[in-house]
Amino acid sequence: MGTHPHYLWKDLFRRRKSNEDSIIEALKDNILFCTLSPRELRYLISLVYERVYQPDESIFREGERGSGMYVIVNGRVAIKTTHPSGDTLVTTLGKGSFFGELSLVEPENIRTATAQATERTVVVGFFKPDLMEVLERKPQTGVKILFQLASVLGRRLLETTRKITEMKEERRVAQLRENNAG
Amino acid sequence: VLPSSAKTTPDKLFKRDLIKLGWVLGALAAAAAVFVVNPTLSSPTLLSIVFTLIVSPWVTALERRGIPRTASIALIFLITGLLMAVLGVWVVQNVASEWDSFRSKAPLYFAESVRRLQHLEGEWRRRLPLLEGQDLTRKLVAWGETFGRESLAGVPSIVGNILSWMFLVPVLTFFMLNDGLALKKRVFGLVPNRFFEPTFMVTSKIIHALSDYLRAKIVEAFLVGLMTTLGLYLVDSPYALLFGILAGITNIIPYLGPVLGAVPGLAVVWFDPTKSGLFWPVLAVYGIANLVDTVFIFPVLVAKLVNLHPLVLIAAVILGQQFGGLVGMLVSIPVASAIKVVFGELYATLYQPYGSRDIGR
Repeated sequence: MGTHPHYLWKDLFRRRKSNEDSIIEALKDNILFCTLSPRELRYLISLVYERVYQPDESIFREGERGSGMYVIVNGRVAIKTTHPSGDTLVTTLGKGSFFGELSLVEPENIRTATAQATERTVVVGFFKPDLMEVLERKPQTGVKILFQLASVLGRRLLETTRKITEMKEERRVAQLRENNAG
Repeated sequence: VLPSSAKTTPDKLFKRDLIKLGWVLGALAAAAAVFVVNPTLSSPTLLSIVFTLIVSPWVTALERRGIPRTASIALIFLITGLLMAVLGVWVVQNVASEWDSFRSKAPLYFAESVRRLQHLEGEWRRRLPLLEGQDLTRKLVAWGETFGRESLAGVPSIVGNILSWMFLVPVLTFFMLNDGLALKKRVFGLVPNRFFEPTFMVTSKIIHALSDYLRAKIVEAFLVGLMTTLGLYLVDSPYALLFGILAGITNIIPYLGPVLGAVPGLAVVWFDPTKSGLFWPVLAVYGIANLVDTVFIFPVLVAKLVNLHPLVLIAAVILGQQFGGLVGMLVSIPVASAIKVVFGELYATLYQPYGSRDIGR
């Protein structure tokens, strides 16, 4: 305890320094929060929630109602979709990656995939009410986050459009080949 | 497609999460029990929560202008303190003079009430022979005397409570505003992973609904109090400020509140022989204030926020009265709103698992 003047509050309201630093590092490296100043990042960590998941523990499941996104501080997370024939592994994410960001803006908040820790994983959760709080209390910080979120979603839209175009092109080529063969 | 061994693991951690949840709920229930059995702790805490919910938008507004949170809270406390001191002195002076006048006339009102009650009892006795031998007025007066004595005996402890609240409530409100977020994080940190997001969402919605409702009700009470005070002044009714404030405060209780608030004002002009001509104008003032509230203020300010059917509201108030008396009536609608949020989330989870989107399932 030492001679800290507020020692009574120290444990209750203060996070361990090392923990705080690793969360700040993870947020600083994240595309959504990389434009924030150190002061804004410190404010942000007063809002986010740190959660620890054991191997094979679900962070959220497909079809559940979600309310926010997660940034991986440590560990790995498998993103899967469920089908009657079994689960499909979409991707595995590591330290610094984020997922579930669509829930921050999507009104229905339905998760489109399952996120499951593959090892002991520490994540930071940032939820819709927190985003609203940032927008109300620090609009400049909120706008920075929203702008980055919009660019991420825009990039995903471009990628999806490109993939659909490629698939259509592949299908057209395949049909042409079939016709020629026929 | 993954091999079956790599499929989403069935819940081997379910038991762990249930035990954790049990502990958290047990701890919360124990904390709630301490508060319920100890009114000296619970009353100022509840009042502080109410003040925190009212003041937090102002703190947010100052923070938006770049003022740090602690400084924003301190500034609001300073302004509110000054305003309350100035307004309080004015209200106390006026209410005190009205109270002194009311106290000096109380024996007259008492004598007049007894005379009128005896007159009424005499008439009833003539019509209903069943009442023969029942000295209703005497029993009523005896009950009134006992009630008055008990109320007077309770005055020192009430004054003591108010004095301790005057110190405790601002301190608790300051800490709730300043460290509320950190405390909220600590409490949510205890919730098991599986239940974290639903609990967080439902709690956020409930807090949002409650703070909106409280702020709307306080504005409504202020407007009703103002209308009643002005109306009573205009018709030259005695104790206009005292009864105006009373009408504003009792208006917080749904449906029954306006009636409770009007009774003292009407009783005074009814029992005061010199003011008996004011009965109908005073009734009209209360009626108009209630009408404006029902037609304009409540639908615009409160009903939109609560969004519950009037029948549900009435049922909630009746249940609140049965379980918790006056306090039960006061908290009935916020509790009903919170229950509605919980059921809304449960309904959405059980009956709309994929929301309103058509995703071809």
